[in-house]
Amino acid sequence: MGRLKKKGQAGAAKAYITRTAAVKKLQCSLADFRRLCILKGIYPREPRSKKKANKGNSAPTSFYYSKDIQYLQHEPVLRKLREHKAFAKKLSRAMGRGEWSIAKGLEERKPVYRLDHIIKERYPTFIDAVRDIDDALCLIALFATLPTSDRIPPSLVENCARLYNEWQLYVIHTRSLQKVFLSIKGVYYQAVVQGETITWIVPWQFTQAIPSDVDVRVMLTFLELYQTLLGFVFFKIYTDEGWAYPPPLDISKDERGAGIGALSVVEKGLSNQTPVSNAVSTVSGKDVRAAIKAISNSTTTTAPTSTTTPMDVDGSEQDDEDFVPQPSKSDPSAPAANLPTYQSISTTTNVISSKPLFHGLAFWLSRETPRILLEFVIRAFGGRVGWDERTGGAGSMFPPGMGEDWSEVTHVIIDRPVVAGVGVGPSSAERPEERSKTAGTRKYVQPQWVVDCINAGAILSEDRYERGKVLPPHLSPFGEAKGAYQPSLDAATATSAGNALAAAGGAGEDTVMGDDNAEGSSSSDEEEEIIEGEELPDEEDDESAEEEDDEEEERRKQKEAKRQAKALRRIAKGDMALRAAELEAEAAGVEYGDFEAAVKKAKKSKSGGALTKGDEVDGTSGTGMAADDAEKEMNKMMMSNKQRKLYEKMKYSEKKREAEKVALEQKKAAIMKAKKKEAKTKAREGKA
Amino acid sequence: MKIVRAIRQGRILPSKPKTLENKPAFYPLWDTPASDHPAPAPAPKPRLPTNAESYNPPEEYLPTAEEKKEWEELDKEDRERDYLPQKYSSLRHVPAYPEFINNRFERLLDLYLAPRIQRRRLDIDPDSLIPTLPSPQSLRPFPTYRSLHEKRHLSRARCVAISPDDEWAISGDDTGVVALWEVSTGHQACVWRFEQKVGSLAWCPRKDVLFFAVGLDEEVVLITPLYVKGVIASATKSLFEGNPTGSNTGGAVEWTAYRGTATSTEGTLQSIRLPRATGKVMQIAFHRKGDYFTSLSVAGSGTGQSTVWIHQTSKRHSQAPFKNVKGSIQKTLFHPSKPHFFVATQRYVRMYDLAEQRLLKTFMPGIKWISSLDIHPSGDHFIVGGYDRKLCWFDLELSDKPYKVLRYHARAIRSVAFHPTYPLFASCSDDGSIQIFHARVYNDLMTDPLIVPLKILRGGHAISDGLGVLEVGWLHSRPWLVSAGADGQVAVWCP
Repeated sequence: MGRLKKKGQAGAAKAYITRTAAVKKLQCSLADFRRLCILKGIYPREPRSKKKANKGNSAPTSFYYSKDIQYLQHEPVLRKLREHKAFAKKLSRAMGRGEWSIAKGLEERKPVYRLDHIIKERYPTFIDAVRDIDDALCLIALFATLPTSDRIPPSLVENCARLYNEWQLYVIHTRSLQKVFLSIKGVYYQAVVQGETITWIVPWQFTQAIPSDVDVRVMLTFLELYQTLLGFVFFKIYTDEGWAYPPPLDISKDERGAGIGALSVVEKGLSNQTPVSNAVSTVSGKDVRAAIKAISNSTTTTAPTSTTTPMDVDGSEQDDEDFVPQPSKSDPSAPAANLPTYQSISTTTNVISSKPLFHGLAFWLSRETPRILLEFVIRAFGGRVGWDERTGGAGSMFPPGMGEDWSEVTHVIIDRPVVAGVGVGPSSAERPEERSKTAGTRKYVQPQWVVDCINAGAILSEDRYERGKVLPPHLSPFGEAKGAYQPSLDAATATSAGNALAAAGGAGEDTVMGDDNAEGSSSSDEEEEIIEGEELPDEEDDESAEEEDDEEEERRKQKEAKRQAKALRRIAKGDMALRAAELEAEAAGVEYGDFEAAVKKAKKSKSGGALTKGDEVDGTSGTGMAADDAEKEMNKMMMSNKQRKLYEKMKYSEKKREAEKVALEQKKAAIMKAKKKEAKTKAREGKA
Repeated sequence: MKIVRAIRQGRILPSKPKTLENKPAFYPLWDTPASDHPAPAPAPKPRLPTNAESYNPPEEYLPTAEEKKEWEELDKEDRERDYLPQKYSSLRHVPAYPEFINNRFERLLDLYLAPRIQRRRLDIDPDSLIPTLPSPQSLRPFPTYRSLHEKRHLSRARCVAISPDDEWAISGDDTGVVALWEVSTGHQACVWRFEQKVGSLAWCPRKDVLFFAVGLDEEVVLITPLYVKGVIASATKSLFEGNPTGSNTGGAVEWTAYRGTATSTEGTLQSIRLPRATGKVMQIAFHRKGDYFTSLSVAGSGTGQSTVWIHQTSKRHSQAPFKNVKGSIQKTLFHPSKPHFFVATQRYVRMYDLAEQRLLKTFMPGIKWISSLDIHPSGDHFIVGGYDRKLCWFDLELSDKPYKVLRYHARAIRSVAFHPTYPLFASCSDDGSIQIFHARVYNDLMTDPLIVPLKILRGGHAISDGLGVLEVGWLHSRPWLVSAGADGQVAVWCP
């Protein structure tokens, strides 16, 4: 005879534990429990039946796995937290009694916990860790820009800034940056590191205070974890590249606000001394002994890895030069690049950017442009970048003493409105003779050009990004969801391709001519472009329209082409109907050839304007479609309940997406119409 | 002294800073082999930004004034997007994003406070979920249009039955009228008017005799139409003549000549008076051989105590197979080939073995209130319709749970019927529609039956007092359907 089963002894009731019960079991405060959860990555679970998990109580609570909490019981950090609690008590008692020597002794033995083992637990392999550094980078980048306060010590901000700069340095030197997106929230970057796509966002460079409804404690706990995680990850990626970690910091440069420029990549062979000097300069004299110990440790730890260094050095040498794919020695038939080894993965980016995008270009950043953003982005794509060190901080890559007038500058990035009476060239410092010397070679572009070039993967024409011009829209490089509205790129491509010829002369003139004229021409250019964009698809459809010389005839022809395109579009719209008609014809036993001929005829008559036969086809296809729909509707009966629910959900979301798309398309059409009208009235005014 | 010397020489550190561990800050953590625990699932990544988030989006993304207002009026949690698209003419105009820290914080909260559920994302065309079934065009013939309709009754036409030779149909209504009419022409041949409501009608399936049964209050009347002549007529007459041997039924049920007060008593053969207070006979079902038939009478208005009688015409003998019945019985049926008997109660369908007199199986359709039941002519499948709009297909071999549950009617199902020869079945409902299905049953046990919805016959009957089509019946040799509606109409549907 089996034993009676008691309720709440097995199953969900045992597998789940409420938060209150967990806190009680761990004998710690709720704050400590939260901290532990954050550090250990334990999050609540949703039991299938809350009532069963909570022993018949259906009150809203959060549940954790009992096993998770059991593991937490053995957590060394929990022990340290308890020790810290005791320590705090002792310290406060000593302070209260005025026993300063005891307090000092206590302070020296303050329990400190380390998170290494947690990192290792949460990310058993390195790739796991790399996969998860998105959030860490976002938070570090945020804290690197925060002002210090009583909650946020300067050392923390400094450390975050250092870590973020190290990351940037790594991305620059491995050329792993892929996409950049300037959004209203901040700047999104995407890089591929170790085969993992990492996306992070950096806020715009403004001072911001932490809002009152944000719990800083939670953020700081996460930050604690993320600093450790990033430290280990950076250590690994730097040593894998054969570089020393931490990269040596040029303190004098750093003090002058150089940012990334203060760090430099050093081969590992040379690393033994550099971190030492670094450590000595930052660590207070009291801990010299500990530092010495650390040195001896670091030498011992680097010893085993030194066997791999030669190869890594090789890799980094290739970094600087063009990548030469070497065939594998063991299997000469296999191409080297096809092997999915770590080496190939890490060098794939190099293969792509064997000649980086901005190779050989030198950029001068005008004072009003975001220096940190542009410096990182341009350097990541192999460009040289310089700025005025008096206003932008140290770290300019131009040779000392060289400024804007350096002859090798190819692009000046400028973000100022055009002021009447001042040239297109940047500023007052320019002398006229120099300007005439450089005007032909260097381009003045707005910052968006750099980012758009990166996202397009090619150097775009600078004309549309010139100073003071209305910029083309900046689109997300991450794309839209499938089936969502895609803003028509034809305007952009048309202008970049078609306008390249026309505007080249105009743009050249602009630089020489006065500003009023330039502005006028540019604005009229813009409108023309848009109109062209409208008409372009029509032209594509109708090839004969291109071979026209006479202007009037062209206009007439274009009208015709438009009409034809419209008809075609209608046919495309009726694609579904056509298919249904085809099916029906097949069912009726009409041969495919005959059917096709009929459809062609119908189309022709349609596009010609006579809709006699077309109507017929439309009619039949309409009924065919209706029959098809009715059949489908009936077949829906045979779906199981689950499937039907899923189907309805999918249909709902599809409909919603479609509605959004249609709304955007309508808006676009309205805008186009308004613009066209405006252009017309302007043209009329101009004529008058 | 030794210690003092050691301290002086620096061999012992007097106050070693205990907090500093001897490990360096960072070391090759992943060089040691990982534990065999699987890595915890990584947190889902946030969504990537789209064009609308750009500092310089295409103009169509910018919200209009009313969109803006709508967005601002919504609560933070209800907003679809946590930002409003904005356009800045130049990068230098872009301000700090005030919600940046909040957004980060919310992400962190999600990371440690939100329960995570793994959902598989279905990236399929929703239309692919619709089962692909053979086109109805290929499954012809089936009734598609109403060839005949006539308002034959002044009140609800409750029941309809078709003669085994497919020529005649009878329909009965709530005022006690039973009409006999020709199926192909609609010509009304004869009318009987009873004083009670007609509960049910059924033709005897025998080919050598021709009569039908009418279920009234506590009485079943057997009638043969007078147009029948020749051998069949005499055979029918002789069936009920004389006094067969075992006619004593213990007094509970009385087989007599009809003594009622119907306006035309022509052709009435026999009256079977059931015990008092057993209520109206709601259903009559003949056995395949036509000798036996069962009557189900329910006291009260369909909810009271129900009694089942099995009558034998040759011996004019009746017996009650169940002593006391639990729950109210909705339908009873004979198995077409085996000595089995189906009883549908309000929630369950029970199958009894009449020979061994025991319960074989209980089927659970999961319907709240069963309204109708029919057995496939092969005898291996049956369908159950319910007032809660469900129709369940049962495979006798398979399980006591339905093989398929369909819910397509908008209102309660009133009647379901298999076609005796074609692979068709129909169901009718209070929503005024009749649904025709193709139901192919395969001989091998491995292949599942194929059910294909063929046609929804709409607009045949008007809905009156919330009742639509009350009963449907198939012709035996043709794919024609006869239906009776609550509006008093009877209709014939042809392919």
